[in-house]
Amino acid sequence: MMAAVAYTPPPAPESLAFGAAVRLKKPMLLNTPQKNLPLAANAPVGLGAEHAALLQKVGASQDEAAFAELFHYFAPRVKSYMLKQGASESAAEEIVQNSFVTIWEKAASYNPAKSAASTWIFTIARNKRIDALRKEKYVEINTDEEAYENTAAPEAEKPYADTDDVSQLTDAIADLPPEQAELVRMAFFDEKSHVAIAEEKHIPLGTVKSRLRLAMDKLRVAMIAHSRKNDGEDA
Amino acid sequence: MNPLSPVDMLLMNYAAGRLCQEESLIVAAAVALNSEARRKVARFESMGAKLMCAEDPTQVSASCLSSIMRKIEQKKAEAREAVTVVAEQKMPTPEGLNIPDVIYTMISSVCGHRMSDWTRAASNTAVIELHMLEPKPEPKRLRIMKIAPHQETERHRHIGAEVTLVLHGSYTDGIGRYAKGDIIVINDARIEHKPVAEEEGCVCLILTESPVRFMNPMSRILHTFWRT
Repeated sequence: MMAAVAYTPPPAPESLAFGAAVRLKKPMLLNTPQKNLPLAANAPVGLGAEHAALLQKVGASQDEAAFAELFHYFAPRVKSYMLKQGASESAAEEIVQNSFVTIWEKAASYNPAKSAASTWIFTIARNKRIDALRKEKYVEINTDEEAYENTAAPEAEKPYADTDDVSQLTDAIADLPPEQAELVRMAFFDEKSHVAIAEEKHIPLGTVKSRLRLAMDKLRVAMIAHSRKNDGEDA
Repeated sequence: MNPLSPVDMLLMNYAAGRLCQEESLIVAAAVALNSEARRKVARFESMGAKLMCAEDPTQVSASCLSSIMRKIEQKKAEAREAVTVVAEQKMPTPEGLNIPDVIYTMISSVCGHRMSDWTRAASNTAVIELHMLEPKPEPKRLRIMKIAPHQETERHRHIGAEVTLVLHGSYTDGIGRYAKGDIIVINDARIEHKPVAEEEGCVCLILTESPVRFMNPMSRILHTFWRT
């Protein structure tokens, strides 16, 4: 079972100064260029583009072959992810099935201009996991842009892949040893396959994989350290 | 090493599926009002997707895909048989609740369509208490709070963490100015503040883990009465 409460900040240590009241301000200030990360083209490339096209086929014409292709790539990864999050073997399998039923049903609403196919699939699987393990509904983000208030100037409305903030996250990547950080950037932000990275960097595929695994463990620790302690069973 | 601010942490935890339902409501509502929150959540979800895809694949059962196709067929058949459901009627919203429809819809999706009316609360505020439809093992206090234009509230501290989303209008509290779409996370018990609504007044969605502690002993006693 999952611990339901993920966000319970600990009492502040006495040494901290005031100032933990932090807000996220609405108006956009988009002028902090990333230090050292040549990131991400906006248009999906390679595998990402292929997955987006498959998902659109499923949406447009209920294409079972395209669906099967998506299934063969994503189902084993969704399952690994669920197992990693503490789901049992049978629960993970069940979540995979329910996720793909929803992927089929909602494929027509997928918009490749708004999100990568992998991100879209990830959010569905995430919500199914919460449905299954906590028996409660996660409040979903309304994906219909029309419903939103127009709160930002047009230039602020950039596609997600245009990574110009979440600098703390990229700082965490920058803290990795250089050989790991570079592979992480290639794999995460350029969506390069492990094979492509190995070819480009002239290092063996096994080395690419083991370095990425090391790097990812560190990133995961860095990114979830805060919430982990309140989420004891969720590891 | 904790490189993220409390607000970013909240958004990241939304993306990772780690929030409780009340918190997920606040983030989903914030995303509808605040394009920066929307973009950040999208990035964190993209990061989550990349972590997921980078996992070593685990073999799924041989019958997995066929089970999925069978479930899809089954649901299609059920849908054909289903009687058309009458659209749920939108209850009249309490007077003075100036919130966008998209937010109202999100709230009623987890709290139901019956919203109680405003009740007067401590320090010149009015509140609507919200209760989740699904029972919680550790319920938190979720409410909509209204401060009339230029009204001052009592100076107070927070014993537990508090997450606030401004739904309408704005307020200042000596630490900053907060307007529609801003998320404020207070997780330091030593922060003492005195919110004052600006000219439009202010409506906020507030999640608290324990009652606030008022600085003035008299209002602390009054507050106890108000709660009961």
